[in-house]
Amino acid sequence: MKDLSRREFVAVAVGGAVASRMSSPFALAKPTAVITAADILQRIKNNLGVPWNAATAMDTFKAGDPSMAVTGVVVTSMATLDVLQQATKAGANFIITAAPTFYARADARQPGGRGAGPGGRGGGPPGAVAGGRGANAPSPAAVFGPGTGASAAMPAAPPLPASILPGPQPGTGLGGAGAPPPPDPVLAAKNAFIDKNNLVVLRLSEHWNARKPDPRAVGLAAAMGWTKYQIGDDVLRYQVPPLTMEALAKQLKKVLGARGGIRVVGNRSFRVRTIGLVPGYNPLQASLAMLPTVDVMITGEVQEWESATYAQDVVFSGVEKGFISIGRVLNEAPGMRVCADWLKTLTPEVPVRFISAGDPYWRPL
Amino acid sequence: MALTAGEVVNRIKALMALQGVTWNDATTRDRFKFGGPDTVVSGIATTFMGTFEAIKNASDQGLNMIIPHEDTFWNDADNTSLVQNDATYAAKVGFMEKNNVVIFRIHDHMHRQHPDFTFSGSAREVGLDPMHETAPDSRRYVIPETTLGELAARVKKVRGDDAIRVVGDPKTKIRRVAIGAGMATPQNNSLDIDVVIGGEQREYDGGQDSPEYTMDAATLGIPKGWIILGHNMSEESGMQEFADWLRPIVPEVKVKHVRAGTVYWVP
Repeated sequence: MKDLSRREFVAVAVGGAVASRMSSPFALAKPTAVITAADILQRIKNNLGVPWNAATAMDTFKAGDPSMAVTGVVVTSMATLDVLQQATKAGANFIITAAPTFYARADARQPGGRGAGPGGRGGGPPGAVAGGRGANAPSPAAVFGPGTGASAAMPAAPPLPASILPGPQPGTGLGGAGAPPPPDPVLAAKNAFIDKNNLVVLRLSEHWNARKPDPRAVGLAAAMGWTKYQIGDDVLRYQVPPLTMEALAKQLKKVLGARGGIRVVGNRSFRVRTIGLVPGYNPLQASLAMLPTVDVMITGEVQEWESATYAQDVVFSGVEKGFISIGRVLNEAPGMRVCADWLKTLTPEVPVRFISAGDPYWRPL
Repeated sequence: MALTAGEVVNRIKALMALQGVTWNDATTRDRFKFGGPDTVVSGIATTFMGTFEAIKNASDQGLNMIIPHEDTFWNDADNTSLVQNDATYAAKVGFMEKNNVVIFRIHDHMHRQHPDFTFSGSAREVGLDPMHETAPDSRRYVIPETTLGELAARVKKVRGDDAIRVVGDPKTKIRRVAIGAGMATPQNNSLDIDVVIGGEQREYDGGQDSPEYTMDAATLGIPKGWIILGHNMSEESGMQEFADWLRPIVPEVKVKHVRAGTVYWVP
């Protein structure tokens, strides 16, 4: 969808709502023109083709009242405040995001619930179930999660002694049992913006990414113009006209609108022909399975001591291979664009648009 | 009598104990990862990680004992069953066997030393002045006011690597810096931190997702910055300090810091 002014967006919303009375396949089930966020989630569940995990802590409403009438839907890679502002400006009040909204896997609006639960420990590979929302006060280990140095993909690795961890951290809720964390101006402002504008936020990640074929791979290939080069029925592998690693990395940067997030291992002049996609956050095993089968693999995010070093060693051993990490937020964006296009077919009553959170990273000159 | 790898490890343990770090035998990290205590040592290389590049460069210089801070077989537990069918694993092991390489990792105990060399080394290599540290070993610095863009540019110039990533408004004014090493990179939502310079952290779905937090702070005009060097770049520096610490107790052999190599380039 092209950029719409607020007025146009509302007009489309109302027009769509009126039209839906006549023609929507959902008109019988929902005789009123009003569609709620809960209704939309139900349609997503009904049409996803992936069994819904009723116990999911990840793909739930994170803010707002799901029974609120929806004026427009924005699908995004990450519901940053900037994306929320753009959505509001365009007249949308329902945000569907791939990433957490409240700065942690626990994704809770209150600081006390952040980092809580087993999922707070740096998280597992995609599909792992997070800890409960708004769970009990976090244990230090849970709060420090990713700071432990232990690989999430290697559950056998014991946590480090506490002495490795950085110094006292006000703001993490570690002020002692029951002590309220100090107010966080960023979290407070985001909450206030959501409340003031009556926004509803839904995270849709583990279920969307479980779709077959992988929408992130389909979306990235489409954006890059590789769809026609797909190898057989495998949306993860492509055979493209040969190009150098340098050219490939530049092309990715341009097409995805990257600033500083794309990082590459391999010889710049190596001419690649076969490309393997490993979307999202990935453990070593995914790279061990993919890299030997293609010239270059493109992934979202890995641990540096796992896949990145593996790729470094492969190249150093004299095998021509390439490895590109594009960043997880940037990697989710094409998949969420596919999600927006799919959702449009399910919710004719309201306009749906995709807004990218962009590349979080820039590089110093 | 020839110096063995086992003797080197015994001396490391003894000096650590003298300095208040008692050895934890339950560690899965700080162990022999290749070769064993009986291997005769011709020279010692400290490095960030047991990369093929570090091992070959050390071996070429006659240094057959490698002491890396991180893993050798691409997973924290150095679980070789994960990688045993991989061709690069076979090549790496073949090289080490042929060249009588012995690897002993030093991680958990190094992080218990005072100072923790991974932090102090990283601070040195990004150009933070020790005079600006708020207290010895605090890992917090109050520097003359600058902008996030200027600080990041200075870090990149001093550090000399391309793949440094930054989140936040380049024009935001900052003074209070927290430094991290590896995954032990502090969260940046503390009210008394303007900018974190760290190694590596999950982009999201962690205990605190600093990139998104920093983006929202920038939208609000709240001064926050997030400078991510990379795990290698943030911890390699401290292995120079560790080599300097080790050298006096193994006078029989040469001790040298060998870099694990550059991981990433950027388009």
